[in-house]
Amino acid sequence: MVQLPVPERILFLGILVAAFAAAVLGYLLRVREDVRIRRSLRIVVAWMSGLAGILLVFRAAAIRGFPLTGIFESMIFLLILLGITFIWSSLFLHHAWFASGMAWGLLVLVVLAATVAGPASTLQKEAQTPWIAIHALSMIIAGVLIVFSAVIAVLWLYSSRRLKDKRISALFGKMPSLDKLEALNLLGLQFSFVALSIGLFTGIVLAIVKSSSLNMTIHDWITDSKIVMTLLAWLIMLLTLLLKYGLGVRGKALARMTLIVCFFLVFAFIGSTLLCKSGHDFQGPPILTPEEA
Amino acid sequence: MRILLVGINHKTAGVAIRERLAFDAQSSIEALHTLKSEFPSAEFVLLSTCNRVECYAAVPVDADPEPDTLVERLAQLRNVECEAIRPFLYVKLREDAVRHLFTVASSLDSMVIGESQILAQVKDGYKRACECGTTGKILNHLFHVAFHVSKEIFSVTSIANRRVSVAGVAVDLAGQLFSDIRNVPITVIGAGQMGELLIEHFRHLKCTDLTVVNRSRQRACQLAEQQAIRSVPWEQLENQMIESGIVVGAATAQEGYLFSKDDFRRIMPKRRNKLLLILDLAVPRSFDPAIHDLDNLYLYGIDDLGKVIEDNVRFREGDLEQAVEILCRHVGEFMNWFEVRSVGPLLGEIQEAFDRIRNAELQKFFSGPRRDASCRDQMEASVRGVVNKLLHCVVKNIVTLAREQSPSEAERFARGILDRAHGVLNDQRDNDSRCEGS
Repeated sequence: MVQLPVPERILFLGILVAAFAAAVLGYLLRVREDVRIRRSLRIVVAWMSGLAGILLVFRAAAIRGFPLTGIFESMIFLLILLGITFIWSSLFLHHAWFASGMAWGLLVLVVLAATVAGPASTLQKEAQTPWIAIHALSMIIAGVLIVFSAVIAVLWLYSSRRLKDKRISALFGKMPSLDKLEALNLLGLQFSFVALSIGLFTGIVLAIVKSSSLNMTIHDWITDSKIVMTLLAWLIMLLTLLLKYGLGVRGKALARMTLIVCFFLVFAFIGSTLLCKSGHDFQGPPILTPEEA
Repeated sequence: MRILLVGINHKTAGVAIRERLAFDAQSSIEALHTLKSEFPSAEFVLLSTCNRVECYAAVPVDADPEPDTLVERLAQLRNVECEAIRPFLYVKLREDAVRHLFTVASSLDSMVIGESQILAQVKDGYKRACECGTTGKILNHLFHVAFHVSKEIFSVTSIANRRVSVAGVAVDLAGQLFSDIRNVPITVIGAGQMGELLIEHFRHLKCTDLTVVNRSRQRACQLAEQQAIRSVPWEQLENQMIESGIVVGAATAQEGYLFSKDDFRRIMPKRRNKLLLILDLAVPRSFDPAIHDLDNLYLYGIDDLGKVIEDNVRFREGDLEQAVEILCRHVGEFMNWFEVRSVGPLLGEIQEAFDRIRNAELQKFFSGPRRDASCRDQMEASVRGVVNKLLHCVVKNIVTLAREQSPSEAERFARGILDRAHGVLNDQRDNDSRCEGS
């Protein structure tokens, strides 16, 4: 984070503070359901998303282009989309569990973003095609939707556990019905599958068109951790949807498979960059300030 | 005035005693008219529900009816021997009576805390008394405060938040599985009294897809026709299980369970694992409890619903302390109003005395050469303003005294001021007569 230019560092610090505040509010909401806390949480998340948006504008100005070239920008974009998803869904999902879970999820994302934060950089010249924008956008949308789906799946599993244990008093008026949760879970999964399919297709087109200029062989592509995990996630997603519509698999199985897909996809997006070596990185050298230069 | 209450409720007497003293709408009206004609200076409200019969009265301090007289008159009105009901009656006076009414109206004295029916019953009782013209300033204010207290307790606390009836909990439970229970196919097994009651309950909730299955086809058809729902032969029960979202067991099994876990292992794939809620309300039970272990299937028996009800009752009682705090605060405020209003007539007398002093002084000033002074109107307005401001200070002090110390202390203080004002008036009169004489 310290590598960020000063204005971006200040903005990111604001995002970090807002994320902590949101997490605290999320915890308070779990303890004491209060409309004022819920409203404050919504405002804090809106602030965080707004600051993240301004940060992306700064990055865009620095590289004079579309600011989705690196993992940091992708995470910031993910943060904005998740923030908007949260604000939108909190209008009809009035449940402390959901709001609290989302707030903590946002904090985790911001902390992870802090670990990979660095100065803005342009794409490698070879990777600069219109396909890359579609590819990056599709992948981020798929990620946001699968995270949303996973949150809903967790709520489904929790609600079902309580119903099985016959400890249901705490659920009344606090959790949506199981069929509503399942419908939302499935909706997220379906749209995520479509977005991921588009992302993979555009990625394959890019790989074919630019493989020689990007110094990546077919072997490099199919053994790259990020690509392998993304493909695995897509396959599990396909299998889940086939089982759902073919054999009528639903409920607990559907929720668990959603969580597995989410794990693979989040690991592909973030974990593989942090933990494994990936050739799926087409960032050019960082843009330096005149002083740094 | 004093506030008194005589009554009988489910805590002090069984239904056999309560029903003897109960008043229906017509007899309530007659009783109120009788009481008012006998004690015209008093105010009355009669509250008669299945759990209580209570008569609230506001009576002038030295006038009838005394509590004993009121008990006797109520007993006479219902043709009951007074001695037969006296051991079960309670009499509450002043603050106790006020607290009791607030407790009743907020359902804190009900069999089920948080039930809202009692407020409607209290409102009915009050409305009837208003229509009979037996209420007055005291009881009007008392009952309006009681309604306000009830509203505040219901909205601020959670005493009415969770359902405490089997049917209510069953509906809540269904709501945790299905977002709209009205469109869920429901099958009721058994066309007995319980089955009929449940069908009525679901119809009341606007459920449209209802089916009854019974061993006796004739009885099932009869009930189906009566309730305008579908009936299916007993032999097709398993098929019905495949189509339903909610199954309610209200028919007892002849030998063992009607359905075992293996039956549902077979049924669930045919349903494409859609959610199924089974409410087994029959005793002995119709469904093997092991069925609950299967995925996407939730089996609740009568005992399970009972435990949820217990939890909900405990939840409601958790906020009891807060409800009592609200209630006590309002009792205090009402008693303040009640005590201060007894000083009211004295305040009127003080104002009158101050006005007379003012008029006398003005008259003295504008006599003789100043009789036709042009500034007379302005002067009078100015003096009136000064006197009113001083009077306001005096009244405020008396009210504060009544609230912070006691109404009797305030009364003594007000009487002292009044005596001094009268003394000033007398002195003025003496001076005037001496002047006239000289």
